Amino acid sequence: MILAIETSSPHHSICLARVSAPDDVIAASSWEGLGRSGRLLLELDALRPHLPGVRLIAIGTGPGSFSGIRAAISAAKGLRAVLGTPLIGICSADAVAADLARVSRLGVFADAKRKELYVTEYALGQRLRGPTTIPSEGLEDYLARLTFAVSAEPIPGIPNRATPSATRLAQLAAASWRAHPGRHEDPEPIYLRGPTPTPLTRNP
Amino acid sequence: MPGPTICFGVETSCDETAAAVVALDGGRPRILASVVASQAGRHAAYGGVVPELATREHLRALDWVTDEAMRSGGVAWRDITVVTATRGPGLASALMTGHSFARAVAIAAGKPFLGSNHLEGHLVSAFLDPGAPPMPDVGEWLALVVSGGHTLLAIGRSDGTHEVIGSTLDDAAGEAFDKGAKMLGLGYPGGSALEAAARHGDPSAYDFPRGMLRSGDLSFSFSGLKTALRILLGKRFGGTAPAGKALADLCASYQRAIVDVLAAKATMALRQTGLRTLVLAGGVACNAALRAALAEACGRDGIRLLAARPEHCTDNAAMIALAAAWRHAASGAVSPWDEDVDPNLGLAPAGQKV
Repeated sequence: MILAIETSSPHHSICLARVSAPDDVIAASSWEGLGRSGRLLLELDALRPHLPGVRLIAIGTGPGSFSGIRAAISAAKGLRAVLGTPLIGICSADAVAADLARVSRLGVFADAKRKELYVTEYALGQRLRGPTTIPSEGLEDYLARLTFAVSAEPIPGIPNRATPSATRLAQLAAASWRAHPGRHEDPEPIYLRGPTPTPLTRNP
Repeated sequence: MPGPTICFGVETSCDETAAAVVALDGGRPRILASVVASQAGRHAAYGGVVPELATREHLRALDWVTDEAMRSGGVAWRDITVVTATRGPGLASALMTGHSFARAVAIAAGKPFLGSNHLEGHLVSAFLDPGAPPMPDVGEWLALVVSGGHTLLAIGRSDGTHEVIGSTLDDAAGEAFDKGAKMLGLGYPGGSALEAAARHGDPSAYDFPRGMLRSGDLSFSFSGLKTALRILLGKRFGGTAPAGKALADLCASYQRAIVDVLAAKATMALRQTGLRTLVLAGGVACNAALRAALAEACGRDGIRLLAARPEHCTDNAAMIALAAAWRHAASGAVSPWDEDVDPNLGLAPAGQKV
């Protein structure tokens, strides 16, 4: 079985599916993340009887909410520490693009804060560019090259909503695993910028 | 007869990624493994801990500190009784990595999880010393916890409860050391550099204020001390840090002011509570001048001083595992899976036992 966790947007989801037939979903759940990790652990506990049979764990690595992605990667690493299950990361925008594979020129956007946007560009489901960051003020010009633009959260100038799902992530991960079996990854959130070097003035 | 409580613990509250396995048997702890990956060198260039950088590093180090702790501890997951991680206080994003990781470990291993209070870890850290008496034999003790983020006096009890009876109103003592060191050109974190420079100085050369020394209560205040240092540097040294003997004298005098207040308040607390054991813990507990002052005060009054070993004064997972093992063994306490981190988690205030 494959366990997929997608938490890069406020809409979190988890899915357990067969590696050989990822359309065959054994269990799936979704919820609003609200910046907390507690629900994810409740969902994992509910799947506890299935965990010994999990052969692959897939995590949506964004770009998106660092808090959500890190909670998922941390939890996945905790499972791996005990179960020894391989872990792979999948770009979350790829899961959105797979849902919109007929769009000739698709842009998947997310808020990158600091007056920037994350964008990943696709043509008929194939990634063309990114993920990368663009200044928010350059959005209008960027949209001119796209036929469809989506984001999981409301972003001014982007009217369409699309959320990456763990179910789609499981399918992509299963395909990736079949193409490159047995590999070991140490997934991280997709970091497109270095850490902001603002030290604490007071220790915690 | 029940066997030992064996706890696997994770600590990621600030800039150390740590994992440990501790066995608690009859109130006597035994460290089976304790692994610490320090990030101090990664943050030094910024003059303080960068939360985003700390969180990225925790995510990278959690795997290997865990593998190393389990391997060197010679234990399998089936041997573990309870899993823990620091729930707070600390940096929110940093806490979240270790806390999520450890809860998933517990789920996968089929073990209960119990979130730990970092300060409670310091409260019991001195008992990790193999030479320390078992906690049940001590029963109740006064703890002076002194670190970069905290300065407090608390009563610890072997039944797993505690109660804060005094704390700082502003800066922590460790913060005073680090900020003073920065003003004196000793870098960051400079508390230990200040201590090293102080060894060659005269602690009576400069008269720094002893905040709230005569307040009659158990509160601390260190913010006036760094202000006094800044004024002194401006008046006597043109606003820049001196070198040589003058620097050593400044460091020794500054350190003496901090140590005097800590020792006086601890002594007052011992007299008020009637407790006969003082536990000294936290990063500043490594300071030799503080240890010497407390040893002298305790020796004078017939008090048993249990000072945490230096490796247990700074952040580590052994003390976090002991705090959880201690509470789990005493009351069977466990946390719900959806427990979240609490960056501002404190100890129980006076009169409110936990």
